[in-house]
Amino acid sequence: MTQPQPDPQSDTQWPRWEVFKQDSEKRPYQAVGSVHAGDPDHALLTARNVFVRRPAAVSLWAVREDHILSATPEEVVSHPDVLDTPGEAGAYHIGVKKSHKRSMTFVDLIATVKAGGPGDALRQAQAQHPDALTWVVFADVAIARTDDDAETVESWFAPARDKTYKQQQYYGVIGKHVGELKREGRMPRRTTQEPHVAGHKVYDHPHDQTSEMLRQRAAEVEVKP
Amino acid sequence: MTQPVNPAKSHIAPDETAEQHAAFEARIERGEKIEAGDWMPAEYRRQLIRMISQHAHSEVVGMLPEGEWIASAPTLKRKTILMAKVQDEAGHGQYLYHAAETLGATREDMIDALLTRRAKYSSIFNYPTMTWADVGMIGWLVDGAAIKNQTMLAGASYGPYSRAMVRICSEETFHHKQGKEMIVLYAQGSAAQREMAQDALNRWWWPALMMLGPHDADSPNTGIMSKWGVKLKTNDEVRQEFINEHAPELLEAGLTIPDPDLHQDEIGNWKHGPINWDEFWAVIKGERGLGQERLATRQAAHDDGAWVREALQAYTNRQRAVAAD
Repeated sequence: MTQPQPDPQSDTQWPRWEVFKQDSEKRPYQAVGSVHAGDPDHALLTARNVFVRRPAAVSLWAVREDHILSATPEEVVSHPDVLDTPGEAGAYHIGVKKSHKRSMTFVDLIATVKAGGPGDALRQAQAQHPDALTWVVFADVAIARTDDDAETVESWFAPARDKTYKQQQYYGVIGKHVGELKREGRMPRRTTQEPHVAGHKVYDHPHDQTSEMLRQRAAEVEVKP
Repeated sequence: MTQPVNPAKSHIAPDETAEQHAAFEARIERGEKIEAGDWMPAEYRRQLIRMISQHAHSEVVGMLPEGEWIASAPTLKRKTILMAKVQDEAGHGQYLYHAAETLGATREDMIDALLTRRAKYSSIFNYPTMTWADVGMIGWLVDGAAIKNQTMLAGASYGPYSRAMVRICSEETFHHKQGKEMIVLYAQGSAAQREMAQDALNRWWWPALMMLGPHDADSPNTGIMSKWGVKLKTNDEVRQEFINEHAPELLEAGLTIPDPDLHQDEIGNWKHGPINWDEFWAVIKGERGLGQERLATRQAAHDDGAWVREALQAYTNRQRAVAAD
């Protein structure tokens, strides 16, 4: 890895684990971020708290950072010996980043190969996906994973599903001014296009909730504590 | 041909070349995302660590003003919403610390920088939450302003930062909407509720405008980070977007915006009156606001959590010892 490494003398942190989340059986595992943890169980529990506050997930993997080999095309050119990184032979997972487009730049795990070591796995990843923007490989034996029996999936991942108040769709859109201002020609020119992130509108312009509905809802009086 | 180089303006470090910078800037020009292992100017790395860690600290300290109200939420529904929101802020801090770590910063050092005041966080969180309506107003205005900024940053050139923002924006929209829903309800409710909503707006309107940063003319870091594709809009542009969206909504809700100079110009932009930047700087310097209290609370939480970290470490050590046997 060519990332700058912290000074080991001053670093008393728990190791970092990269977290891969699978949203449904049909979706690939996706690199979502990392956690610090002392052991595999700790890593998975922390990963659940940080990355599965909302649906959906069916499985989590955590892989300690020193078990992961990753490279960008630029790195393979500047440090070609990365392709010779030694290690255990066995099954390796391959992840790639394929797009520079915002919200599509996450690394997805898309294949498993037999490899003589991490360098060989990286070489195979590069051969299979020459256009990828980042390759990530790690051995199957390095994965800490949640159990995939129904009970585990239920207890780890189902609770987030019922907490619909965490979803923006739970809140009606509020107000009616936009339509009125537009009709009167007083709506400010939009300075940007409607922002979308990960397929979701980042911001909804309020327009379709009537004042009557609002008055009714105000009747469910909430008082100052 | 020699170009006159002003050393104060050059961002090329002694061990970097103009060619490296040109290739890097060409990548950004092409819309490529820079990843952790790629070559990048030392100044890009330094500025990103500064920005991302400040952003992470803001999420973490941002739990405090609203967290105070969890026990006093008026209904179970509002309480569950507020708990989920505060939990989200903790998660957002984690996403962002992770992004900064990919640049070589360590979690320990960043947390130490926050607790010892080497690092800043958004001064908006040093304002007190006086009434329950502040919780709603923070969601509507403070998170509304934050989303404007974060939507811009989701397009930033550094991959890990951009990805953290993509996740955060989609979750932050819930914070914004729950706050707006609450305030609109109160603004059209009983006299006491209306008064509480208006009072909250009176106190949060100006800090919300200030949190988007100094005017462009006074923002020293904007130049190079906009050239390097991190700050895609200026502070004043983001602030204008924020006001254009929120001013008509607040008026529609029946509230009065505490700015007698607020008006729409000929092309429809809502223009605000002069901002009291003395207050902004005084809060940042800790001369006003709750800076002391916020950091004391963070420090106490850090110290109170020590036994949990020690217990987890002891468990890890034991597991290792068992495995070694």
